[in-house]
Amino acid sequence: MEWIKADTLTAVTLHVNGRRYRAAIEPRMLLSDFLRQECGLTGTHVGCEHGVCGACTVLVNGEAVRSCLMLAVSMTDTEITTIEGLARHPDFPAVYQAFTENHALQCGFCTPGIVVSAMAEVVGRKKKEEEIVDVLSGHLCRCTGYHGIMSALREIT
Amino acid sequence: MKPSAFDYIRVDTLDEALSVLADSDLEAKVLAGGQSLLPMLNMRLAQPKALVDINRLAALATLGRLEMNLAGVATQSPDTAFLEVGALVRQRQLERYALEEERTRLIHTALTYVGHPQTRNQGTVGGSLAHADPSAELPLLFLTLGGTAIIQSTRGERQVAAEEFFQSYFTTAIEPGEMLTKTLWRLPVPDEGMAFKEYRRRHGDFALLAAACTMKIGSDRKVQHVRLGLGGLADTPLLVDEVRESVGEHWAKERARAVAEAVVNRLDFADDYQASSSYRRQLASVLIATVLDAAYEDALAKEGKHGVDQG
Repeated sequence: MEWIKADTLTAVTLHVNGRRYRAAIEPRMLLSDFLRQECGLTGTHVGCEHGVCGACTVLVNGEAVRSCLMLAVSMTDTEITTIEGLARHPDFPAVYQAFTENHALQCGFCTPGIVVSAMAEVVGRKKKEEEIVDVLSGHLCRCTGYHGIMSALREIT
Repeated sequence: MKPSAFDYIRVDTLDEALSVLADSDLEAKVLAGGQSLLPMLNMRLAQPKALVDINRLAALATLGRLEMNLAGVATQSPDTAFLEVGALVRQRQLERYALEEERTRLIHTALTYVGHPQTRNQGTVGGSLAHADPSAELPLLFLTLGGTAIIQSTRGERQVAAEEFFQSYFTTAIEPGEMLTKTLWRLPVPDEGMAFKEYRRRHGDFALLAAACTMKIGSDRKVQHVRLGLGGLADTPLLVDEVRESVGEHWAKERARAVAEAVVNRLDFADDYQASSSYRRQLASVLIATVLDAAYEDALAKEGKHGVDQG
């Protein structure tokens, strides 16, 4: 059993994008804040901070999850991948291309989260239309009206 | 939108978890997937003094079939099959497992309505049941199928039927010091019809109204047994008694409408920011009739297939 008192700083090491990041944090620090403030990985955006908007989506052990609904302190056993890590993935250029050609972004705030979900759930997985809708339903975009994003996701599945 | 401070306690065994929960001064909350708890912490709707992180308890993350005869003894020639789901099984894990066979199809269908893939990857089955949101899909399914909750504490283990498990808004039979460790989901018998219908404003939202139904008909096409559950209508999911009057009778569309009318006349509907009471009443009437007819059509298709196989 590991017992960390409230308001105390404890050193934890997280594995992010194949690197180890060590920082002294409070138990209440969210994974999204750890990534941005302790790792400097600001590609993970923070929108609603209660699991609705999907801007903070990252991969934990390869599965897309919302990093604002995870405690950094509980992530020490896991492999975390952010948009910065995925940008080096061989599948990434095709996703980038599809988003560009289909007007799948405008202001770009929601885009990193959507690309993370797309890389984990859509790329090369031959998803049906309703499955793509299910994946995209986990993200809010206030610019595009979603049609451009759906076109991009259809192209890469 | 940051949680207030809490002690973080990561346990390595179930005994450690139960001993921490037994300390009533600590007022510890269990952290499983956190997909309902973390939003409440972030908005400070919940400010627990301590969190018990149970994510290392691999024994609670197992999933499998349990075949039993009517005496409740595990056997090779089962009358009843249960799905045994550890409290820590992720919703996505159950969704994929349930896709594999017909008897778990209703569970799969309902899970595709739960949140989004990104929350189902992390959210647990036990967490959704223990949270007991009255419009959530898993509590509705658990009640409709006839599930059993296994609850443990330092005092031992007890079993609670789904009918007694949900008590009010966000309130279950789990007492302070106790923890939900496992759930048993009774599966429909082979050839049993099933249907799940839900209405909500946007994909992934909580249901404005959800309905689940299982129905078995005989070769004479009379109803042998039927269960109908409703979510989003009251402080807990509801099992509908009115539908039992159909047992032993032939099914007909008028019967579905009659059941729907009886149910909406008995229940109170409230206005809220999402819908007026008259809208909810109309929606309930339509959705109940639709889910009953869909379950019957499914049962009829399966019974017909069965007859051909035998002939």
